[in-house]
Amino acid sequence: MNQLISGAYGLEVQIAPGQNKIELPYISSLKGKRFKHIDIVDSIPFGKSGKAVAGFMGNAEIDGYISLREENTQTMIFNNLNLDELKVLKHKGNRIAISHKISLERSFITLTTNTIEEIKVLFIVFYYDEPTVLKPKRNVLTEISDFELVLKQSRTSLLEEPKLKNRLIRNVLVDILGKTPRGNDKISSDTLMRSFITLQKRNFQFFKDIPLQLLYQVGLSESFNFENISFDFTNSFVDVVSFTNDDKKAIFFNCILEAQK
Amino acid sequence: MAFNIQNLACFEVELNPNSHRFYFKEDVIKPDMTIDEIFLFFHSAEYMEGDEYTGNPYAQKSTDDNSVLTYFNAVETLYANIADKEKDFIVNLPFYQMHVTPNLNRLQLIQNINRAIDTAKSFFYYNTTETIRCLCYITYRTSPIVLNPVMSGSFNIEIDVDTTKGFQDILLSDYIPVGYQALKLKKITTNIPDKGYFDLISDSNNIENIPFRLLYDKQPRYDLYFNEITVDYTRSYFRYRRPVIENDDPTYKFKFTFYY
Repeated sequence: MNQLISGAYGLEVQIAPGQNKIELPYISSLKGKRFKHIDIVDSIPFGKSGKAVAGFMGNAEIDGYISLREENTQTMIFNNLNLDELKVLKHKGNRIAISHKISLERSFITLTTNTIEEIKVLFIVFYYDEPTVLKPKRNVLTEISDFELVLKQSRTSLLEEPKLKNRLIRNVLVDILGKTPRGNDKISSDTLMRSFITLQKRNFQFFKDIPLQLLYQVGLSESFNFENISFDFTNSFVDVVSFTNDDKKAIFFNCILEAQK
Repeated sequence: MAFNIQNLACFEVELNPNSHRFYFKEDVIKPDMTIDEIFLFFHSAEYMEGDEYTGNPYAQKSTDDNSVLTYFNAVETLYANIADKEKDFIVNLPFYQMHVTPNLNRLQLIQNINRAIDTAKSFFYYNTTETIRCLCYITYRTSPIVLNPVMSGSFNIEIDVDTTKGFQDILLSDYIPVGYQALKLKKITTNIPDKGYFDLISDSNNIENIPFRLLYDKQPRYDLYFNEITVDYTRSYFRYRRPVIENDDPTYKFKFTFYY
């Protein structure tokens, strides 16, 4: 069952042909954070760097296990957890709950199968609990609002949305194809899969380099369960890898918000 | 996560190219109802072979113009805008977040509406290139929900339907003994996912034209429970709605299990 999250960090790690172990890097912004879920994103063709994602759409070219070491006790709390358990296409939104502080630099992935013939990447998203974010009140009504962003270039900043300023957000949903309520053509599935979103509040990144495709939550077993996040729209942006003129369409978002009295 | 229905209201919706909005019917949604969920039910192109039609419970004959529900592929846009007395609390929510396919492709977000809605200010905005017919469902409660998934017992009924007679409204009291009337229902399951609806009425509950598809699927998230409802079987119907007459095997044997 999906837990409350208030931050997410998209990490791309390279895999070389024949490599059988991936040491995970030290990431200062994740130090001390309580990890809630981990996604191996096998539903996008390219990482943020533009390199191909190994195991895209269930390709059996890689297989293996992840081992995660707890930060305080330095015990291996997940020892050889099958990567399949974390793959987006497998769990369909029903993520394994972790709820531990993880020492990433002492955690690793063991590849038991690696038949890639060129350098590819594994795209991993770490979801965590940011202590500074206020937990949502229970039994509070929610509202659903919308905004849209017309992509103009490889990085497009979100526009100021007065109606959403300082609102507490429980989830962000993306919709594709067809037209937005304002009559703009929505992005295609292809653009969606090459897009990454960063949501910031001042210099603090709540969501960093998260595949936009993860916010397309139609048909999943479970949807995201954000803690009350608010972010600065003009300080947040969407990056599109290998941007072309065909990508110059609108991303349509819905936000689930804590209701205001 | 299972969902728990105390009452289910339903009305037929026709989307046509000359119009761009439809509103909730005031006689279906009343101000004292606390709405939990709203969803739309279309025919789906993903149906299994032999299920190429989804009958309409509001049609009386298979030859009626409105006898079948249609697939939504001609719908270019469909957004929900829902208001309570104070404000619009759902703004431009795409219908993809709401529609039900045979796999019950529906998100939890449309659950937990948890308030009365203002029908005069709530509507769906749409564009379609063809006329589309679907059903709009609203789950609501008029008293607090009782959460008790433990079953006390069950009974089974079998109904043989002669498909050569076309659409039929079969009174449930012809199959269910009067003694079962006092049992508070928690669940109904069926062996056939399509071809019909239950209209379950009593003085305290109203489950209007619930499609068998919702009783057939057993996905953990969408497992459907009734909130200990009472049913007056002398006023409740099995609405058989298969628009095609089966020539090879004209009888369908429907099996239902009622849990209480």
